[in-house]
Amino acid sequence: MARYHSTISRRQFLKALGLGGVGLGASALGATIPGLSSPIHDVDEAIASPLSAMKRPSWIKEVDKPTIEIDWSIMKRFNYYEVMWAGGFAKAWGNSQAALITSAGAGNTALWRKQNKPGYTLADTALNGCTNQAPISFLGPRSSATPATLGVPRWEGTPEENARLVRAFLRIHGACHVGFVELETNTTEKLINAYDGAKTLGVQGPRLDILDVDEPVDKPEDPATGGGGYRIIPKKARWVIVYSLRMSPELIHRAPGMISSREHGYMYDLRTLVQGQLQNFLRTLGYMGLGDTLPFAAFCQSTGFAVLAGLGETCRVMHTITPEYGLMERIFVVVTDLPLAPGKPVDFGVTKFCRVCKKCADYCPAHAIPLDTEPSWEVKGPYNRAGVRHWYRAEPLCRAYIFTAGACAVCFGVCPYSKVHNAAYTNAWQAMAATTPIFDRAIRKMDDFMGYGLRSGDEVEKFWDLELPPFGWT
Amino acid sequence: MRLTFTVVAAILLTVTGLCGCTAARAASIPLNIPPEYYNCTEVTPQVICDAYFSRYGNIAEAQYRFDGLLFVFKNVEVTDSMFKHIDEGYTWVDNLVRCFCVNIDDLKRYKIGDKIDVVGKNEGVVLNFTGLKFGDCIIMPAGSVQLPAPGGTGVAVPVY
Repeated sequence: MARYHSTISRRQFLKALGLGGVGLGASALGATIPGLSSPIHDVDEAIASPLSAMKRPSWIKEVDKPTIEIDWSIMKRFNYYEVMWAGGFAKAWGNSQAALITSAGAGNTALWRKQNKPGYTLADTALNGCTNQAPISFLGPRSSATPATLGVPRWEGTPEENARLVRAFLRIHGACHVGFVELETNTTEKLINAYDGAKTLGVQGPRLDILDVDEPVDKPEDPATGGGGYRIIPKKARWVIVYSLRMSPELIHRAPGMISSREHGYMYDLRTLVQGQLQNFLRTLGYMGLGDTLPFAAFCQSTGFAVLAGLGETCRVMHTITPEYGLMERIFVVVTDLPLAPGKPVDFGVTKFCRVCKKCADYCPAHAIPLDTEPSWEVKGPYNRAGVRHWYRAEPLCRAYIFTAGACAVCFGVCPYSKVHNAAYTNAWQAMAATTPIFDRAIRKMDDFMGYGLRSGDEVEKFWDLELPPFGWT
Repeated sequence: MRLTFTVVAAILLTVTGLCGCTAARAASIPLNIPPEYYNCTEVTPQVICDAYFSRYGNIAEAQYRFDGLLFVFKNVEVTDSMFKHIDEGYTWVDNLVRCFCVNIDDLKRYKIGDKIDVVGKNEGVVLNFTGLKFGDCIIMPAGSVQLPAPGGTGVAVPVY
């Protein structure tokens, strides 16, 4: 039987929920409130909800199951080597064809740079090439103090307090959304990969074991490539911290090319810093923080965790759409033994909308995104993770286009959800889509009619003349 | 909020009746070309046809060496005659090579005098005609894609 307790006032509670209006307090405690399909039992549970992290509109409903079907009995822990960013590309195309595609990309980008093609100019190339990352590791930098060195016992809080703590920490370090998932052996644990990524492309990464041990272990066979060997996640590390970093629509709407490519790259740069900071933070509290060894999500299925934590819904593009920023976020994950109050999935109509809209599939230059109305259990190849009823992407086509065009992200840019944050029209149609699917087709048509989506031609290079806010967050 | 909702609904319903879904491509999106096409060989229509049909050529040897391979014709000037057989799914390049296209409608985006590149598979000799037939051809603006890829060419083309 769960125990409930309250440590803050009703006023604070309402403020945290973003429901400061008079008269809502009476219905909030122990009752269903707008935006929540299940009752909130107490203040701590409410504050730990994703809804407390941000003032989310009432049309975003918490639900018991994700809006996309998952069959945990089918799902197996995945080998990251299979993805296109690791060994999957050469496996799918064959070595000579893969080399040809890589060479084609180099030839094209060199040609377009000479031609000053919008999105590929020298300035754009310099923008994309400025990447600079902090060291990133499974165990973290381990450069912060520990409770032992500070002479104090480790932090002890309720899961709700801990969640609040981590969320506050991550928000001030640049995270946009923060949520939590509890690992369970036969379900959520399967989202942790069976094999991690290696530093060198085409090399099998270390095995990721989840064992009943006290301390994590990081033993790749070849430290130079990061391949082979194993890593151990202690079974007591049962909680997943899922956080997102927000991308700039101004950059992504200039896809494909070096300008939009930089925005993905920047998220990976920033992530290396934030992950290390979070790992250090957890270390000083007296807990472990186990993360990726690569700048991108290689040791787990981050979209799955984002959905389960209630950050957003997954979609035809197979990424996470949040109500606030659509596809303009990148999701990252750290596993910890700090107990955290898990969130719940949300429903704001995305998967229903995706059935009708199909704009990403219409615009996909590689024709890699399926146009089927209904999602399917059938995977396209070993590079897809079975067990989710999804619109599985033809990854080899997607990746080949990214290589030959130098970059892509067209699907991110054209998605109707990837629009200006908090604009009245965007908020209104999203509320409609969350409430009823009957306007979905009209919303898609309206999106086309308004010319939303990608910048083209000279508009691409006008990026350099924009007076953008910090991080380009428009 | 309710007013906004109503206004947006009205706009949506109006616009729905006025326009259709489009799958238009933004102009700056690079063309998607099957990866194997990057392994093509740059040639002119005259040179490849000479390998088959000129007095110095050897049709049997040319068939053995060049049939089934991918070639690109670069900087082809669009002429009036290129539009004559659009309905039959092909276009002439230099009145020597009949190019059957993946999407012949791509040609309609160009006007006479424009320069294009045409890449496709050499399907060899056509009976009763001293020219070649190319299949699965893709038309693109001249110089828009680096064909062949650096190091991608694997065929030595005769030059007479």
